[in-house]
Amino acid sequence: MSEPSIAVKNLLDHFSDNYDDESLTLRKNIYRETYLEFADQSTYYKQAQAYARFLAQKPVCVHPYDLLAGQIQHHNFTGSMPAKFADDFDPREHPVPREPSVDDARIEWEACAPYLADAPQEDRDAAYSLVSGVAGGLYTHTSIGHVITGFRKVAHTGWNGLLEEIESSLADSGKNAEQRDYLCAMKTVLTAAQNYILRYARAAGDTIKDAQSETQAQNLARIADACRRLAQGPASSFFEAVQSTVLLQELVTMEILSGSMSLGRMDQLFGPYYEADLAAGRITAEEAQELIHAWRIKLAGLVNGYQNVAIGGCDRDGNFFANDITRMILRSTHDVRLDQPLLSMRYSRKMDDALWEETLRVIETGNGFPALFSDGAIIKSRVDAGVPADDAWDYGLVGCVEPCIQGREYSNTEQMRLNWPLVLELMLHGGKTLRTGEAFPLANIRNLDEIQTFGEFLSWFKSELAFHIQRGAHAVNVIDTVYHKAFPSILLSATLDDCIMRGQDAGAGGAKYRFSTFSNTGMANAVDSLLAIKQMVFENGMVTLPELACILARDFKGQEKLRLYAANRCPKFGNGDPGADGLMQELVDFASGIITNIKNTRGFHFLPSYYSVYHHASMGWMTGATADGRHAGVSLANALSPVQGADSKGPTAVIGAVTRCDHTKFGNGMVLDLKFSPSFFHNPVHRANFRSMIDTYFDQGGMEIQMNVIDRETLTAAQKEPEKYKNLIVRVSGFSAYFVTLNRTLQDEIIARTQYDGMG
Amino acid sequence: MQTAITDIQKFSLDDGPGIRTTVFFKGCPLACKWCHNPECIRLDAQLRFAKNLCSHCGTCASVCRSGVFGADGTIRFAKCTACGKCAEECPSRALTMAGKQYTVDMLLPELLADRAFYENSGGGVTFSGGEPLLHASFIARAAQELKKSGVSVAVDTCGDVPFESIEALLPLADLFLYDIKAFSSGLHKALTGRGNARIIENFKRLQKSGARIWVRIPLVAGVNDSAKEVEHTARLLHDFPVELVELLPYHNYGASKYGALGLSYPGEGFSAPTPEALGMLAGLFPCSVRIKEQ
Repeated sequence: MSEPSIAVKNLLDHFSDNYDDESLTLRKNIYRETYLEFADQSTYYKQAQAYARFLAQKPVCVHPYDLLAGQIQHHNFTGSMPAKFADDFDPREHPVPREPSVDDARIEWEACAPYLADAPQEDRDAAYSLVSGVAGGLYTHTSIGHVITGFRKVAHTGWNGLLEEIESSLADSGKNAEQRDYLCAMKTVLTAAQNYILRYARAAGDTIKDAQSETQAQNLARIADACRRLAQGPASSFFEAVQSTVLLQELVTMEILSGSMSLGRMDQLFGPYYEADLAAGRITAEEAQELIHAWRIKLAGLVNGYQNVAIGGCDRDGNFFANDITRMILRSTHDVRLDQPLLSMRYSRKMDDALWEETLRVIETGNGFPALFSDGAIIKSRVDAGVPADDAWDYGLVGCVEPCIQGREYSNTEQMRLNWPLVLELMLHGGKTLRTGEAFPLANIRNLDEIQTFGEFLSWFKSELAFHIQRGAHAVNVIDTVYHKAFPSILLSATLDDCIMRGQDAGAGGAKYRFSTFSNTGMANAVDSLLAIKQMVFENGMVTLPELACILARDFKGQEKLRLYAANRCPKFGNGDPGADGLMQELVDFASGIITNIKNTRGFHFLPSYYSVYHHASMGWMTGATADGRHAGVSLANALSPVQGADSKGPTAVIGAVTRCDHTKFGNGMVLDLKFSPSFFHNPVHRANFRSMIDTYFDQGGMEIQMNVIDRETLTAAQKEPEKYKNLIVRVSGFSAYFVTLNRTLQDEIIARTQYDGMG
Repeated sequence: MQTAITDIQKFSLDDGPGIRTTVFFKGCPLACKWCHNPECIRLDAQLRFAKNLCSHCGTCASVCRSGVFGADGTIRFAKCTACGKCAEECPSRALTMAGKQYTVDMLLPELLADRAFYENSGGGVTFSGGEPLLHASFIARAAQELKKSGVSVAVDTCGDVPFESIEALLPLADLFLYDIKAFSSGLHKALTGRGNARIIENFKRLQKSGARIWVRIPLVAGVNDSAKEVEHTARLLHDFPVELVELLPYHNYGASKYGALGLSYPGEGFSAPTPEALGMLAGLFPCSVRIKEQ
């Protein structure tokens, strides 16, 4: 590990000093006052004015030790709502991470309801169902955010350039009153952004007197200079390009207080600036690396921001893309350990061995970075969804894993998530949930006694899955028609093609590509539960369906033997069992097909995804006991992975199982999570084979893969609860080393060894 | 033709090159004191108990006809007839039978499942155990089918079988992993239960046939790792060169398996040579040496 410079160490030392506890309250008050003052004006006008005032009054400072200006807050601003109007809202009291909660859904409903006053009651009910759905654990729903802002456009065009584009659009006589109103609001916010950046220029200048060294003084002058230029025009150097992204990220996350505002392909953006500066002798590689460290530290200041940076990938012609910045970002992720930005690598077989070694070095630190993405699967999924090949290659990732045509797409990638095991729960309990007290409709409530065959039960499940997919998508569509009227994202939209040209908010359909998204969680639990029902109820007659429903309602109380049987003696997804893996394929392909055929309100359609963020845990908390032997309240399976501990045949079997599904249908992304012990990577033979494994996964159509490298705490937990960790591989010399089968003394020894290895 | 297999281990990285599937066959002429696959020593099926998975439901006691399961929770392995009933019924799979009967047709689909991984990594299938060559005709048939599908085959053998068994695999195996536990026959017998005359003889014949060989040498500190002892093996390999030597420092990861089988662990007190000692021993060999990580 190379040592970061003193300047970077300084930034890290002061990381938590920048706690900003004023801005959110200030913002809330300013917005409220402005809305009252301009009550008769349009929402676009009010929003723009409020934002502009906030930017003028928000605390701004540059510290003597800063290498870059901006993003000074160390704060969790993120949530699902763009503006907090609740009186008692104090972000510090909210748990981190801040969940899209029922409160958020309720605020959204209350803000949007007036715009639905004339809508049919059925639509109003649909919109409200998002509140009950979130409350009952059936859905998660995030209103906004989850997009890649147009960083490239702003760096290349500059704010004056964007203002000129707005003027051109306004000059078009075809624009109607609403469009003109919107474009004027854009002018307001862009001008406010410029002034905000000038405040940083001034702040940097004012801080020079506090500089503790000549270097610090020079750095501050560099910031002041860059901010003065960036307030007006395009970036003209590597430093300015990097600085522009920090400023824009801060601006856009101040406008939309929501998660996963992502940055896209930053090696692609920074590369040409760096190469020009390097060739002209204006910068050294060390200086650039230092700036990349500082840049990441700035981004990490937004707690739980889920800000995704992508590297690697391909160019327009399909050639593998990587440059010096790719390596610098990788090195920084390794040398300066932070939880953000989330690093995504667009992987290719053509990646040279040196770059792969650097990537693996980062993977084995155990931070989970980078996640690896398949250009093959993702580009095809986009082309199949209707994005021309000319644009499909230029995707970045949003939040966790969602593909996005950077700077040209607005798809809100966390719009809707459906809890599959809860659908099963509703079926078994007459539409009622076991843990939350909510009830939900079913396509058909059935008498469990009357179901004769598993085929019948499976058909019923599929019809209910289809029903709830349609219901959830409809709810999101209704909200989508009005959400942007209540909460336009004016600054964000200005940076996205083609919002200025259309004079239209991204949420209203202004962006060039505008899908909607539908995610799914708990698939493996649903599959394993169906298989358990098939075997226990319909094949062995161990229990009837009504009896099983009762047993689940009581969380297996007094039925531990049955629970163990369900958990251990029924087929499980992820092990190469064709029946089990085939059922997952059948259900996922079924769901993907339905989702893809649902149109959204912006002239595009829904894209399915199969990842769960941390909602497998939060939804699991709200889900009762399941027929696969899972206790009530326990986390659901993570994304498309097998149920934790149910995979006992190793990673090749998991890969085989997961790639039976057609990933090119997963337009909004997926996750496959694999766990390895840190010591696994120390063996050079293992490292080479690990890459072969990754290659095979992608060859077989896999879309995304990420590595968990286990720490001591997890191993200790595995000691205490071995039944939950049957899948943990500890690979040594040719011995089948499933950790949980080893004796205590050995486990202790390995725990100790792992800790040591982890420090290497 | 059926034979007993204890495990089909996928994603094996240490039983030959690349990503492999290793098949562990039951039955071994030797009983090495450090053996980490003791469930493979005997040919017949055996009861296995994973204490940490037991839920104390008592199902086993209720189905056993032979009085294996005492009311006090003890297991009398000696009374077990390996009927397998308890393992069938155990809800938590704490009880399993080591050794399941396979035909070649049953085995092949499992081995072919990971073909793409083999191709990408230069891997394949390794027959191990126990001593796979006790089942030479079975393995030869399986290997024939695998080769038709372009899958590479390795055989991990201790060599203590009639040479005809090795010969049967010569046209089919791409690699032999050949264990040499000790050079001195007396020491060999003390450590494994049998002398090594046939093993050394077979090795020479195998090497002369031109087969690709990796020699594997398990090393226990103060037991078979003296420079003198290892030098003998090194000299043998000087006269009969192989592609690679793998030094396997002792580990006790098999210890818990003995208890699970109702056996006491014969390797109690064993330890691995130090890294320095291993490095020194590696230097004795005339060919490439790889020291396995513990």
